[in-house]
Amino acid sequence: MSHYNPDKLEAQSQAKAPIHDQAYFSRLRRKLRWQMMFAYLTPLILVSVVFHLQYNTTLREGIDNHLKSIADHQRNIVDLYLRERVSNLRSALRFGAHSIIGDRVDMRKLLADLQQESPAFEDVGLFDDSGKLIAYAGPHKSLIGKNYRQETWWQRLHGQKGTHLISDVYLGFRRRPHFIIAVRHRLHGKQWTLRASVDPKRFSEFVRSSYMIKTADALIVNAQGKRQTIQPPNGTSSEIIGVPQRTRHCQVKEATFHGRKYVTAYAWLEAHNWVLVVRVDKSAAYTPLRRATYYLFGAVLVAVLLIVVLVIRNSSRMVGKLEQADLARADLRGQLFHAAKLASVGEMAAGVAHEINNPLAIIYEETGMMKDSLDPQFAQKVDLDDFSERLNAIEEAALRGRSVTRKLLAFAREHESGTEPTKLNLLLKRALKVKDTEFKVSNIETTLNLAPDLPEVEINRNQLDQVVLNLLNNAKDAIGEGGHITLRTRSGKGRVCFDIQDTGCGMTPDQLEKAFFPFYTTKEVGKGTGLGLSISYGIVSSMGGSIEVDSDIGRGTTFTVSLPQADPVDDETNKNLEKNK
Amino acid sequence: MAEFIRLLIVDDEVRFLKTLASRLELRGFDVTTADNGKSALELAQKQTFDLALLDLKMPGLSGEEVLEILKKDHPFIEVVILTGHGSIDSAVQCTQAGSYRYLAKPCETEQLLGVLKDAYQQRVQRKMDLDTERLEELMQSVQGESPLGILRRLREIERNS
Repeated sequence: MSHYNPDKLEAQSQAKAPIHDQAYFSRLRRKLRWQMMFAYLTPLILVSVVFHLQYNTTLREGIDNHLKSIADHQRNIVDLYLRERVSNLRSALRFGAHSIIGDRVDMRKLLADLQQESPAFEDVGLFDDSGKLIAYAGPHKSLIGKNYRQETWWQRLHGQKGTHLISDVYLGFRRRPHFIIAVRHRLHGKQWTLRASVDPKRFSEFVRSSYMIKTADALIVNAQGKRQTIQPPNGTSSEIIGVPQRTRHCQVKEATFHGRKYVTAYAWLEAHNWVLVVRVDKSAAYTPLRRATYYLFGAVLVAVLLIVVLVIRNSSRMVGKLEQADLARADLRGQLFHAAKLASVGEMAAGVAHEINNPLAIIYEETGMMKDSLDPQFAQKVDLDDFSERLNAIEEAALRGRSVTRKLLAFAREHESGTEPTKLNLLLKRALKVKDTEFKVSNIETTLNLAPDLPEVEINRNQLDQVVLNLLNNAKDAIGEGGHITLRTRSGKGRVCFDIQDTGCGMTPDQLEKAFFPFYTTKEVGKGTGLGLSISYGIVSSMGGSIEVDSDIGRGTTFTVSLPQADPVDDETNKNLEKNK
Repeated sequence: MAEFIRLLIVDDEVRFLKTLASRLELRGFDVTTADNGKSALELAQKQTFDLALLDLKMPGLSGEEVLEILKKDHPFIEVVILTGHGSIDSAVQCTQAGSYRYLAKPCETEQLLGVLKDAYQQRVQRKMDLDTERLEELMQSVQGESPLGILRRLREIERNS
């Protein structure tokens, strides 16, 4: 036995076509929009984010490296500056050695020479072995004669191997912040120490003088993080800055000073245990970064808006076209339905005409007989009882004719749209009645095997009538002369099904496959349109049902139509009620 | 019509069958009726009919089957088809199977009578043709025989028929 389900083919060839439905298209439009937006926007946003992150990192590294190189450069300059100052002092002490020995040191000239080298030198003092300031030039003359033996710098200078020293900033005897550079030199068995103090203001100016970022601030702190340069406009010199471990290379960190964030580069000096700190206000440092972010965001926003507009416009246009096509298709489908209906009406009309001929023949013969009775040539007696019997027969025949035409009219009634809850058993019985005479004269017996309490189906009766009559016609044609047609109904799983089984010639698998194709027919030319099954399939599909067919060549064919049950909730309740009973 | 034409009418519409039979009897036919194919064939075995008026669509044996058997078993019976389910295909089929004419219900009485008369004449003609044929055969077979021998042969034929 071969089995065929046209839905499988349908599913392969095209998506199941819904009947034209406004809500469906709104849904489709919405879905299409979301999908298109997702498809277009996701890559855009992804690329933008990745680009932004990458660009951000690169730019940040660039800025950091720039700052680092500035700090490195500046550190070298400051190193050089300090070394130069030490070497200035050292050569002053050496070259001035003769005069020192002769106790005729011209300190004023010495200071002038030093100041010629660097104006940052504030004063200069010469100390003997005991740590006493023996000669001095500069603004603090009162320092002459003081003994510095107990001063930290003195102790450090003489306690170390090296012959020079740079101190941190301190107040000292003069009670003013300054730092000193001191060198010592042994001459004729005596230790001479030359000390110059450096004006921190000048030094600070120097440190700040040559960096390249306008908003940057450069300062120097000692190993404890104490500030060694003066902040330009009344800054707090008491500020303590966290200093990283000494490294050869410059380090860049983000740090907060006084509640503001800075990008800070730390470079340890080689000449002294100081750290050069170059810091830039973070917001100022990353301005290009922010600007780039704004540009990118703006560009992405414009692109997004453009895409959204295009997507909305295009999806509307596409769905509009689809909608039009669907309307045209629905229209065509309606026309096809109607054409097929007309064709089957034509086929039926032929059958019905035959059925009218029989009562007409009775009427004709009865009236003829009555005329004969009245005809003198036949010399019949007029028997009124006989007449009334004949008139009854005529009336009966006329009524018979009327019932035939009524059936035809009921079938050919203009296509009514709209569905209604229908009792399938009743519909099948009625359809069978239409074909009753036709079956009888072809010696086709029929069996109705109907399930009691069958749930109703929500369908268009007219259309389902057409389907059932089509299937009955096919069964009759497959049988030809003498056979059996069984109609069965059953329900379950929210579906209501009916079978139309015939004992006809059956179909080959090949015929079975083509059975639902439009214009495919095995009937003689002019006998069938080949539309019956394809139209039936269309109708049943539009009702949300399915048609399946089982056929066994030489044994017969069974068509099974499955329809969705009307309002299953109500039915469920009914069943429950019945159970409770 | 001088002689009674023996007519068998077969139709499953009993009312139609009876009335038509009465009307044809009035017009001088010797009518026998059958309301199905099987009893029609049984009647044809028992009696001789000149003509049969046959419906096609009947429960049980169909008109076509009855036609075939009738013509096979009784070659001289002329069959006229009278059906409500007339179609060209079935007319061609019936004519090929040997029916004399094919009429559609309802059929005018005059036309029916005309066809039946023609059919009867056809039957008579065919019978006569056959008789002549036989006579000629006989004449040939008795050529050269003595008058007494001829007389004997004629008596034989008379006895046989």
